Amino acid sequence: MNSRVARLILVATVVAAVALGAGCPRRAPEVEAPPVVTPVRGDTLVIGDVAPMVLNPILATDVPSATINGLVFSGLVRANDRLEFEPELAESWDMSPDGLVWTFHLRDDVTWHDGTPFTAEDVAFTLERIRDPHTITVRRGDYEQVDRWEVVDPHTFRVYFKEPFAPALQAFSIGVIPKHLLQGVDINTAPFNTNPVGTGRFRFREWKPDVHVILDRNEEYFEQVPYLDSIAFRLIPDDAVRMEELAGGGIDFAGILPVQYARMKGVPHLAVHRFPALRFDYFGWNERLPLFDDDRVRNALGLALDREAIAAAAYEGFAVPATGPFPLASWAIDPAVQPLGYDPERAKQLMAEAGWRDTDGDTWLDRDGKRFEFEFLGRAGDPIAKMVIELAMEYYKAIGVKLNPLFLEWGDLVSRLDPPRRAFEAFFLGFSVGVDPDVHIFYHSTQAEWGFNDTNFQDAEVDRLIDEGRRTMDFAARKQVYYQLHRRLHDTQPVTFMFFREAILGVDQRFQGVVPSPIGTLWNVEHWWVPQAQQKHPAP
Amino acid sequence: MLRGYIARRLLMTVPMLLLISFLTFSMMHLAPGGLSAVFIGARVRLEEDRIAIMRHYGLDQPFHIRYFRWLGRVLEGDFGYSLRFRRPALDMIVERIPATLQLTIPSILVSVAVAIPVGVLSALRQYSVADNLATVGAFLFVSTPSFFLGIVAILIFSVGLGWLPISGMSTFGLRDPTTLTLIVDRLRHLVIPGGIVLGLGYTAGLLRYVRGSMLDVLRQEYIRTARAKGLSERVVIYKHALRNSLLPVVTILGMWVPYILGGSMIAEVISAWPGMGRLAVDAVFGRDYPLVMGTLLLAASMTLVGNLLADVSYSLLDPRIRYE
Repeated sequence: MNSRVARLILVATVVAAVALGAGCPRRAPEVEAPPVVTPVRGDTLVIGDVAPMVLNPILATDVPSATINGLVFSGLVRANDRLEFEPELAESWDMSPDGLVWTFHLRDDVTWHDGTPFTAEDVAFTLERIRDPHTITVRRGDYEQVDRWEVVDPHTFRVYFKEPFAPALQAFSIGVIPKHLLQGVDINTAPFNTNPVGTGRFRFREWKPDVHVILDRNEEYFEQVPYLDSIAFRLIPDDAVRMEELAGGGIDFAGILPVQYARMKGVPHLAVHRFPALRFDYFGWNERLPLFDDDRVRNALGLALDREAIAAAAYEGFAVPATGPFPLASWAIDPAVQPLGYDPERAKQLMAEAGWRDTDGDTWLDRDGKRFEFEFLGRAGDPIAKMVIELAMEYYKAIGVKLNPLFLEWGDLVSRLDPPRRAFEAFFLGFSVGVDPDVHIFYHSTQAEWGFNDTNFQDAEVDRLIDEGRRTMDFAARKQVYYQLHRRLHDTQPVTFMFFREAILGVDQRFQGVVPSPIGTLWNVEHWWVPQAQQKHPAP
Repeated sequence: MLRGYIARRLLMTVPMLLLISFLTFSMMHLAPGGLSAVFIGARVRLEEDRIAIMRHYGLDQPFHIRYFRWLGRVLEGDFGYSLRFRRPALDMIVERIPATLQLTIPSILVSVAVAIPVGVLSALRQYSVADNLATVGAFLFVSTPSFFLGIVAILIFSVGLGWLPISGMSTFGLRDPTTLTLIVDRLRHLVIPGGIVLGLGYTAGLLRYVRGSMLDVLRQEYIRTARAKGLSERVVIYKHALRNSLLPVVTILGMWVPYILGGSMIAEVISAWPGMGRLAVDAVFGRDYPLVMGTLLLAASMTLVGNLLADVSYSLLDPRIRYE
């Protein structure tokens, strides 16, 4: 997973920008018409979530930790609700004409929550720790293109790339960690990880294991100082119980299960938002096998499915058909690309063109005496996966293709997909995509051996466009490259793009300024406020 | 004699614990999942990182080496680090003990206080309306799964009637609490997980034992002798019958010893109670080997100690039982 991705995905609670159009980057949403209301300080936002694991942005891999780390720490840049990066610790940045040298100009007015000034040494330290083979992190891959870096002066940081790399900003959205507290300490087990000190909007107050994590407003924050006094995360492991707490007002903010959507809409004190998240679900076909090594076959397998019906049955309607791997809020999406329709006749025709016909009259397609039959892996215990696969089995049966489902535990499933085994025929999986549309790790031919191109997709044109997207620094030109890539991916169907899942979020009505976004609805929480009369929690 | 018996029993717990730890270690490592479950959702991008992580956790070593390394460290008091939380497993276990004790001790005390008198009464008035009610109630609560009981209780008493808090151990952001309001708040939070989810089950089970045992005793010849001697019914029941009928109850209480520290997985998960049971469930689902082994070793030791306590108290309570 990409760096910012883990930090931003789902945010357990989730999000979408689409509904909002291309509005307001990190500014307080404009208040409609008179009377003009001035935000006031006070109150605590109580979030219901499962327990976080590690409050250190370079170590964390779970969503609850990422949510908290996103508030306590800050990166050089951060994403806005249009999935663009804007300044945070870095005031500005420029690059050499060949795109190889990036210079970040850091703010000089930032202090750590303990009062120590923030400098470029901290940024260098963060990268060193990520690179250090002793550090147990999954982030190293995000910095493969980085050759070296240097601290030019306390507020200037320079990075040298091995090749021009347009998606670079994503890697620099990772939370910066303080050198003065972590130098000479074993970062994997540092007490810091349960008592973090960052430069973010909120400072850490306490973590009572399995009870709550509490953060307080950072009065010294270098941009908009939050109006809310505190944010508390109540750690409630059971989904159903968390829903009851949300309905009962014991928590103010939580993701909502699709089955509870209608009921929660009826709760008077809740604002319920739904929006496409960054997670997309897809069918992967092992193209190392002759069965799937044909664009026509993969197109047929996509056309055979009625996505509308599957979304309604398996996702309770909370899914939007995907046309490619780019999140629906992304600037990389070519709006002209339409999802594959439901056309079983065309699917049969494409199969026939690829040589698959029912020659022995047993209703299953065959070629050279071999039936079109495969084992299809899904994640055990995921009710959506179970339903989707069972429905797909029926749709495929209708075109003479035999899908044999096999449900595995997550770890088992991943170990069969991971290199060097690649021991699978086909699978259903979801992936949380990054804010940047670079899909090199998924579909570039060089990633088939060790990367996440599990299915061994190989297409020279896709390779060329992915490389060009990484090299093109001009935004408008880069956008055109991704439009072409989007169309090419749609034509070649490296995987069968199924859905972007929709997230549902409930927030107590008293909070003003809530702007749901796929990068995490807390993205602008420093602008949230509660009218004096409705404030529930006194200042700590 | 007794001292020798205890020493022998304690000695026997050592191979038992070794066997239990070995079996659990094997099961954890044979279960599907493996290390990738630790980084759930986050697949490791670089092969060298994958190898480095496996090596860091010692997972590149053969199974038997891993087991003996683990055992060696445990003997030195080092239970290792949680794979996911990256904190010492022992710290995580110890910090949850107070919450668990606050849940289990009151629920066991209340269960004993309710089950013994009701059980005795049930036996004395066998087949009366009260006995039938107690019997039906006990069967109902013994056979209802506790997760169902918990959710139903939350829906009725918290969501529906609004009498009790939904989850947690105390109210978040309680205003200007006095000692009294704090205690009341704690007790209100205890009712569903402690009183209903755990308490009803404990009470129902114990009640059946007390009733059965009392009925058994009442049929004994020494009771008839006591009555024949002309002792009042009061003395017969409370002095002769009750004391003898409580012997099997001691066995049950011994079996409950592991729950006192181990907590309850279901009650703690449903009610978001920050105790050992919840930690254990979380560790198992997260394939967090060091944490699973730590919680399990604790539970196993408590079980063995509980059994031993029950056996020893038998011999103290019943002069007929002698250990050679």
